[in-house]
Amino acid sequence: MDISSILSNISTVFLNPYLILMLIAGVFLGMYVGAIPGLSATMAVSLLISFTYSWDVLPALALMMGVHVGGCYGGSRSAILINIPGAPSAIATAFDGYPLSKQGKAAQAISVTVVQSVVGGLIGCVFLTFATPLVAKFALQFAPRDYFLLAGMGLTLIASLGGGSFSKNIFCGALGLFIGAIGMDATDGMQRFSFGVPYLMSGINYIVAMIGLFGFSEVLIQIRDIGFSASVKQNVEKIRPDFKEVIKYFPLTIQTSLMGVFIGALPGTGGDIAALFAYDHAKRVTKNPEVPFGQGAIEGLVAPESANNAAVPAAYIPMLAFGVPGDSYAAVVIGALYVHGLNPGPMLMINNPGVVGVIVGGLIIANIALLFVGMTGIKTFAKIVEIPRSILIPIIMVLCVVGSYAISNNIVDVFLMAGFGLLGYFLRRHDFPTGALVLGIILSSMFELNLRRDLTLSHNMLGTFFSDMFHSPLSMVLLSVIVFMSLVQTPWWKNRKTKKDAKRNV
Amino acid sequence: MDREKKTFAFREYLLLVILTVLSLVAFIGSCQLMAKKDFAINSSGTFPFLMSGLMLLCMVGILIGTRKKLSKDVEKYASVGELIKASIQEAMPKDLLVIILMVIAYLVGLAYLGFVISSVAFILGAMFYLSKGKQKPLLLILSGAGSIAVIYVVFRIIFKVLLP
Repeated sequence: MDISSILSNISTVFLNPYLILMLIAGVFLGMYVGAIPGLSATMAVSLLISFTYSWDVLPALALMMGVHVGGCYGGSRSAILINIPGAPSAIATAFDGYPLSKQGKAAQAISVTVVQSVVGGLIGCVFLTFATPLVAKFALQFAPRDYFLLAGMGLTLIASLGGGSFSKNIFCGALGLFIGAIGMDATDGMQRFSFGVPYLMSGINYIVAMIGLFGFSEVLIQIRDIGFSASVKQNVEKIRPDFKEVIKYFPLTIQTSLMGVFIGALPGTGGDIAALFAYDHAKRVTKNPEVPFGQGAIEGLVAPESANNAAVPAAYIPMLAFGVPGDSYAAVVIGALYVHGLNPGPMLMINNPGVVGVIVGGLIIANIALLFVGMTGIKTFAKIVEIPRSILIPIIMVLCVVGSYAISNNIVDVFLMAGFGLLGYFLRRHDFPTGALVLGIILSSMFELNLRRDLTLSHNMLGTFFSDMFHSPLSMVLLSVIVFMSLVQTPWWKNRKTKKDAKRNV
Repeated sequence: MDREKKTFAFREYLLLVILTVLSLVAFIGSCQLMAKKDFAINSSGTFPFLMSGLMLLCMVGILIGTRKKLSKDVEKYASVGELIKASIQEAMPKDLLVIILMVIAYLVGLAYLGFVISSVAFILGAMFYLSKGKQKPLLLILSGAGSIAVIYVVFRIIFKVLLP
């Protein structure tokens, strides 16, 4: 599939009013869900899968693309108005957004975030359109060993860049891969860890795990903190985009958007990391800001907002090219594609170009729609943010139950979802990343299938298996990344770096 | 220092022990799977063996690191019993425990009472409990019953999704 084919498929989305309607509805929904602290777009989309699984794949995907774009932006609204980021990608936005709000400039801050999100998102879409076919063409040259190494690289990247403990991150990835292997082995039909339970023989449904780990565990954490969360009333006037400001900060927007694209395209990273990197970059390159950073600097809004929205389309580059998700949201979208009988990866671009067109075109339309949607509904937004948790939490719990049951109409799924929710609650309370766990479940079959294919190609000889890695330049690059990313996390490397830094400071 | 910080290392240690035991069980199970195929490199047990092995390795590493912090937590309480009690209260506060029990009752109720009755009962019960008298009862009844009605109409009637 070449660029012209992608462009023609994108144009069909622009000419389909039903898909456009779904995209706009998705942006609306995502914006409000993303704006409510504690509710994430990932959680919303995991529930959406069960809601839309009987739909045609294109409108279902359109809705999901809209939710992704809207959700990524929505987090900034609560960050600006109440100093509580609605999503992790809006953490950096709160640094300068809230001080602006306290100065009575909330409308200006919201206007900047909308415009920068749209510009960043569109830059990301340009890269998605033009880079994906090239990367996918390259992906067709991958041997099973390379896919196996790529999945390993994705997990190592999550563990290294995801923050927190490297061992905890790796553990969660490995646990996810192990859970994904439960049930009948696709190669020789042997049952693994199903303990004779008929339900487990077909494996654990990853959608059920996602709803539990992302949705149910989140509400359990919210219940725990219910006494500490208070709703804050806000008065916000009308907002308008200021295009003079866009031109003024355009060089910074370009730099941080490119940063967002690069970070977003790395498997396992996402808008949150991109936004924090971009904020740090803005601080370093802005020598004399009009207002100091942390006190309402516009650059402090421009950088994270353009970067996190640029990371959204970029997260689909590895998904479309290799079948490896760029972030947890893309991981859930992979789950949705599986539900609809589609396999993401280079063959998706050849066999189902319409699907690729909806993803790419949908993201472009969703970003354009965000420019209008993001400027509206401020008063409604303020009311939604004020909904008491005591009302919101039970409703979300019922939605989790409905969502997990709808996948295969099995009550066991609901119990399993609740179990995953409880597991997610304890893991998250101790900084174990549940995103890595979900990513592991999703990547499990690809990881194992390619490992075993490569072992077969190596005639089940471990020596050949390892020596082959050193004969392919591509495998060597992937292996080097894994080794390097693991090495920099060792205490030895960290101590060495600390000593070096100390010497430099002296 | 609050209870969260005072009991953190102990609670983490308990969680790690549980996860280590689970990893060990998974590892032994994987070894048994591999044994069925005479420990062939390319068998259905290979992948679970590698993953459970990695899990176990990570857990041992984290456990060693956490063990050092554990003794400090024990010193903060008069007895280990008190520390365990405080840790349980911190890990599972009363509100959370009550809601989890409500969820269990709700899931069991789904099988006997059907979706509408059990969901309305759960949602109202949870809303009244969590609001702790701060919200007007009429608002809670309208929000609870209304949201179940909306879920039923949207999922069951419009999109034909089967409900429990």
